[in-house]
Amino acid sequence: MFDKKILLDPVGATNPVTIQILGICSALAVTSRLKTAVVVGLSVIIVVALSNVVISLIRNYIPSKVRIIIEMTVIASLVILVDQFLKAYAYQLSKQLSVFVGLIITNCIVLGRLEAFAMANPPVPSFLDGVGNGLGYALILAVVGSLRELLGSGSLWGYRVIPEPLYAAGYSDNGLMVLAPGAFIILALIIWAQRTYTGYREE
Amino acid sequence: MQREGNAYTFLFSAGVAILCAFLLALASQLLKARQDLAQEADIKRNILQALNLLKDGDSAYCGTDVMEAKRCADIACCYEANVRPLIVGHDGRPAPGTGTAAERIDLAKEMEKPEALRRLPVFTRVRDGRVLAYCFPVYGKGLWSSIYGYIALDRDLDTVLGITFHKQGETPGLGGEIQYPEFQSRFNGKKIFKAGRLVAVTVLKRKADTSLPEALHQVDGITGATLTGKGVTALLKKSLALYEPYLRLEKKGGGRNVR
Repeated sequence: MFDKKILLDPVGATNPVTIQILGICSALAVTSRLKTAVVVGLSVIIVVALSNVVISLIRNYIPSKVRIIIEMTVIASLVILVDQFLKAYAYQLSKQLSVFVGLIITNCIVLGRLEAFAMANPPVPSFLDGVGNGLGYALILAVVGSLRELLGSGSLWGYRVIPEPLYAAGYSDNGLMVLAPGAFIILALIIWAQRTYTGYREE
Repeated sequence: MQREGNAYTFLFSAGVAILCAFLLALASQLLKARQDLAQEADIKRNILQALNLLKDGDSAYCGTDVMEAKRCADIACCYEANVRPLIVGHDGRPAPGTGTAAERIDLAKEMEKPEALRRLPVFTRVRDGRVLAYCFPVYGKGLWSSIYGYIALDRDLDTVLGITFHKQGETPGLGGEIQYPEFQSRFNGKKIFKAGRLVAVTVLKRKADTSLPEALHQVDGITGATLTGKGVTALLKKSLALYEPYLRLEKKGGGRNVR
């Protein structure tokens, strides 16, 4: 039942962002600060894992004609739940995230995993697959988020990291990193580094 | 029943939809109380922030010179100790409330009402029975969204002490920057009256020319967010105009309206 490969492969070897190239849009949008990147990462883990389990449970009963609609209904409900919880328990953060939590609904990773895995596998492996893919996504987001915040704002998790004297000596933050192109560049570098290391080729 | 038949498909979809709707309704009911609390705390935080009582967005910082006697660890305590809300009518005179707490009054709704029915909240910072500063809600439209915020004025009812925008949906990274202190601090020290006329503060498209006297009523805009800037200019003018009668009365009365 418990297959480690299902859980760990998506974190590295079949990472949804760098190998499957899914969820790029949100990876650009929420990574200008580490904290928001981590919260969206966690939310995606929860949403992918739970929707994988739900769909896997009812996979034999879903009429194939309305498959996608049912999947979207489940995803949307879970995302709204996450949003409501954030509003109740992390109001400041939910304000900063504003529309991005809602946009998890349109994150290709979620629908992609439902179609590719949960529709054909029992609940436990589906759960692991969801957590694994969520983790893979969250990991990339966290890396991009920390690099962008460090280079773009000189801080990490909201705390100043680059000391004042350095600024006085002429150092300045890279404004490009705060904008979307900064994320593109970092993401591309990560993909390049990973593919050079593993020798992965797109067939 | 046949799995691929229409009847089954309809029944199954309806079942899923009803179940999801029920769960969501349940969650929203259960979490409502907590969300309201969080929202109210956020409003109080923003009023305190505009009044310069919080040094940074995350932690209450109510100690220091403001109140040596009583140190506060949280927003509610700091708010209780410093801020006296009151409600005024369109003529600027104190008006009977309608049972809604001043913090809960939605300026957007008040703007739609006929003048005589308007109830406008004012938040005063009071120490030893004297008013040290005033805080007013502001509301208007940006490029995409409604923008809500607070502007605090010094005792002279002219100098801007601080400004916050706590609810907005402008483009993140461009217009959305109005929610960060970097932009908000540009308003500090600006004047809203020019030779006795209410001009509020204008957000420029470019940088303000500090050598001109107008710079006292202008702030630098955000690059790439011209329309959000225009919205902010308009909403400040519109909102402060609502309070103009009150501002003039207070200026004459010198803060004697405080109870």
